[in-house]
Amino acid sequence: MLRAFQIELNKLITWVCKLFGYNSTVFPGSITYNIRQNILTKIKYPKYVIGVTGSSGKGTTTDLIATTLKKAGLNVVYNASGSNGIRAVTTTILNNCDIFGRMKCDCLLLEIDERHLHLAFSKNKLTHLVITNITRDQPARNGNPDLIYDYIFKTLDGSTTLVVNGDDPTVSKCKVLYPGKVITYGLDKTKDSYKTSNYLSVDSAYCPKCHTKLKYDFYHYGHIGSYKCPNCDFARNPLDFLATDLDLDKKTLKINGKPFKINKNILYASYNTIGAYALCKTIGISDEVLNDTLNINIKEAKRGHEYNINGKNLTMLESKNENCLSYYQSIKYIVDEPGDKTVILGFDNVSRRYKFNDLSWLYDVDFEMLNNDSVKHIMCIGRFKYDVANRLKYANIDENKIILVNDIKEILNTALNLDSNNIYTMVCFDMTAIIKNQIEEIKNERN
Amino acid sequence: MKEIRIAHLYYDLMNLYGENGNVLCLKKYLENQNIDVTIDYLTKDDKIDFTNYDIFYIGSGNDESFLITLDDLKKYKKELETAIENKFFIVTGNALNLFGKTYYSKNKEIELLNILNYSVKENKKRLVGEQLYKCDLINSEIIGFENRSTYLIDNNENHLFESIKGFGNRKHEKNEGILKNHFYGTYLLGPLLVRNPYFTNYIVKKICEMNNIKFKEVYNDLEIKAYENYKTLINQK
Repeated sequence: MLRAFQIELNKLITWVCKLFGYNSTVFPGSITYNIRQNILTKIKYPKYVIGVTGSSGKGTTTDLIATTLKKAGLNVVYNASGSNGIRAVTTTILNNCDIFGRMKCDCLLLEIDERHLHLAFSKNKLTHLVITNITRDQPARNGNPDLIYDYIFKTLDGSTTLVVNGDDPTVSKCKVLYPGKVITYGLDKTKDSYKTSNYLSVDSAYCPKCHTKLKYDFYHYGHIGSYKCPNCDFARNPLDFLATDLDLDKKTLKINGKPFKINKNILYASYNTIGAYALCKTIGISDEVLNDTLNINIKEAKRGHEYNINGKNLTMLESKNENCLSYYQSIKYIVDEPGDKTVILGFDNVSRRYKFNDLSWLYDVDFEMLNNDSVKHIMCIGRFKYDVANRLKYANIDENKIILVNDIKEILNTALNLDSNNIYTMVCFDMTAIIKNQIEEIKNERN
Repeated sequence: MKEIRIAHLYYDLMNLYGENGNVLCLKKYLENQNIDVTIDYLTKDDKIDFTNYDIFYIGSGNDESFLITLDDLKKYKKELETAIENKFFIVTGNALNLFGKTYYSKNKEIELLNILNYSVKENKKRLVGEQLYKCDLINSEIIGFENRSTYLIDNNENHLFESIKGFGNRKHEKNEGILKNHFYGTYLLGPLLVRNPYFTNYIVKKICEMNNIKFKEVYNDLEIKAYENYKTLINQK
């Protein structure tokens, strides 16, 4: 009875939220979850219950899997909004149940927060779980990568088939520790791979089995690459699915010899595609369908919002504070793009999820990369602009390139008056909204 | 020109929170005093000659890294005891735990280096947040951040800081950190020295004194502004 009540209440609240234009992804689940927290153990799940978790890449990987499974004719329920906490997951599941708690689909696919996985799947089990990577991410909330690993594996009992990024040694600990089936995927050496890491803040430098320092054939970034223990059999190889021939300019790669496309010209996009491919192959999706969704009709994803203002290109990237490897890749993307650049960095709060402002991560990010001839100006804005500017100084960036901006209202005009033709913003959500308004104002003035 | 040698110990194990910044900061501050600085990055299975360095730095690590480090450091117990008498140790985050007597966790007790007179107990909930401390050594406050799962018990050592806002060695204790000779240990994590220019100047002054080098205070405007800004932020909380 209570189950039926929770399900119907969830649907009702969702309907009311939609009617009044409120966010209907989290709120309904937060009410129904609090009535009885084990509601998700009372549901009759479909044949496939697939989770996608990890520190980054969950959203796009989930999207690619959803598109493919739908194309294969499966009726898929998934949290397309990207809200991935226990409350949002509860909303998604209950809204797709009948009054008897039966899910009306062939496949439940969930992008799910690493820390909430054990809350959603305590007794009920996933059939498959994709783990994209485990990196330093929001330490005030997550502690450290080891604790993230422990959270993910808290309630996994061996019955779930894991599909994991084998290039990540933190995730790959499960090859040693997990009692169930583990499928691995990875990316072969690319032209950007490097042989030795100068980067000091590398996680998982040591073998989880025998505590010997891992040896790398190459690194892609951070601790992601091809490693093996010189003392025991812990190693990245062999992988079940290997992507080769990555060409970021053409946005192509091969997986197990077959050509595919990636939807962004940035390295991590390849992992989203390989992860999605590995999961889909594992549950028996045909090559024909995969070729359609991951090659012919792959949905182009924009790398941030792009504008042209007064003859200058402006690209807005998300500032992934506290996830140093995501931040690193955004910087690398900027540096690798052609032309002279002005880069705008800043945030008023480190996180949108909690009130703590730990600035330590600034020294985990390789800002040294911005010490590049093509980067002409770096503007620092926001409450922690002095900390960011000081970090840039430690990266030996010429002080004349660093501009401190006090007023966000001035930021766009100042950037447009500088001599570089390409502007990249990597600022927090609130500032992104303000800058977008400024762009609109400038456009309106012009019209 | 005088040379100062820094050993960044277990740089690839105890490095969770941007703590490499501390070593870069020391280098910069010492170079401002016209001192030649070398940094050696040392870790498990390297041969560490404790007589070869003036300053030792060690930062935070996860549980597994902590145990690997502890196991390796035990080889050097005698050398460490001697070095702590007259060399500089800057120890941040849970590296502070290494030097105590016993680590009490829920299901086990771990023997620590047993060099300093305190023990460590695991806390159920992590202690996380901004910290504001005062320090007898300087007139200015100390700012920083903590994110830890342990606290000190049976502590018979002198404290380094006193908590104004935030946690002490135990959650509700005023005293924080450990000061012994030139061992400066604190649960504060991350680039603590970058963020506390007055404290760093004090440490550099002491290093200069010990090495008969003339010391002149050097401040960087950005660091001072960042420091003042964070202090205001904590005080507003």
